[in-house]
Amino acid sequence: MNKSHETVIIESDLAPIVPGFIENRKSDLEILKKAIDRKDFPAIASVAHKIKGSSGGYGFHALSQIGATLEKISKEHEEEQTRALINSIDIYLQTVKIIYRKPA
Amino acid sequence: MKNETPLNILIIEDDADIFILLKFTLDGHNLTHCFSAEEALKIPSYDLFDIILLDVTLPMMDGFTFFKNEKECGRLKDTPVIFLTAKSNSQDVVEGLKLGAEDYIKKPFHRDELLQRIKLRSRQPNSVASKASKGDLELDIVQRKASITNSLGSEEVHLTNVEFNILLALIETNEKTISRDELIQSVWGKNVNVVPRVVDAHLSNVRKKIEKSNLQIKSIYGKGYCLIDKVKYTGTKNVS
Repeated sequence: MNKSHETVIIESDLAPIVPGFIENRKSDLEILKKAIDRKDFPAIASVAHKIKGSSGGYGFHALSQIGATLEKISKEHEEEQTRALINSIDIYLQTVKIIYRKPA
Repeated sequence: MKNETPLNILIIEDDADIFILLKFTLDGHNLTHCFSAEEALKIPSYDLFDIILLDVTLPMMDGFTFFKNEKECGRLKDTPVIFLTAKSNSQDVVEGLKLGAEDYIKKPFHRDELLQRIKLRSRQPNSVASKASKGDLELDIVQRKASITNSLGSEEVHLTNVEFNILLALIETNEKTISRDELIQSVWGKNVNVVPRVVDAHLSNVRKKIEKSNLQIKSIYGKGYCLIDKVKYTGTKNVS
């Protein structure tokens, strides 16, 4: 993933819970960084599974996709790719732009 | 959704972010949340719920095992269950449906789709378990109405939502004793702090309202409460 930001459009009724969701993913990121340093792939797969499952529902589909790929790759103990995907999550969380729109 | 009859929904989901999202999505409905299957096992009866959303990947007992066990022991007879999970291969979907679940929704889910599926799959007004009864007392779970029917005719009993749920929980336990904690969990839900006095106040109201019934709520010291037939307990008409 390059540094160009992704813009996510989210229904405005979710506005009160989105900041908390982002903070929780930042906490996940710290867990992931520590887990890869000790090569704890099951822990990475578990966090990635959670990211995959929750992100899309909030509207962060690209993050959900990264989570899905990370879950798969970590289960294969592919360290280099796992690190790259964790880095992608880091960049995503730093650069994502959120636009709220009224629900249809 | 807000103009429709609220559903009683049990959500068994360990991911707090998913639960928060569900809470926003299902605004207007009555939600009970358990973080694990073990927590859900403590609920005296699932008949109170119109639908159960059950995550598959749970911390200890997984959703499939919970569902299978509860089906086998007969506790999950009539309450529809939707598996809600990030497991997405077709084998998992088939396994969930083979076990007898009503539906299977993959995470991430689309909120409108989730709402529609819940609406479609939840217990319908004409379903078998839309009523609960004991003695001369009958509860219409869908209409949320209670009535006492005897030789003098049928009389509606006006109950608050909490009072209705208390009576339902007592009927479901079928003369077995339900502890105060179990009653609180069944009526108010898990992780809700309800002081004993509040429970006592509601029970007192329910007792008054069903005075004309052939049933009474008996307090059993140190154990809890049960709904008993007055005739079986001669001379105990005013049991507290």
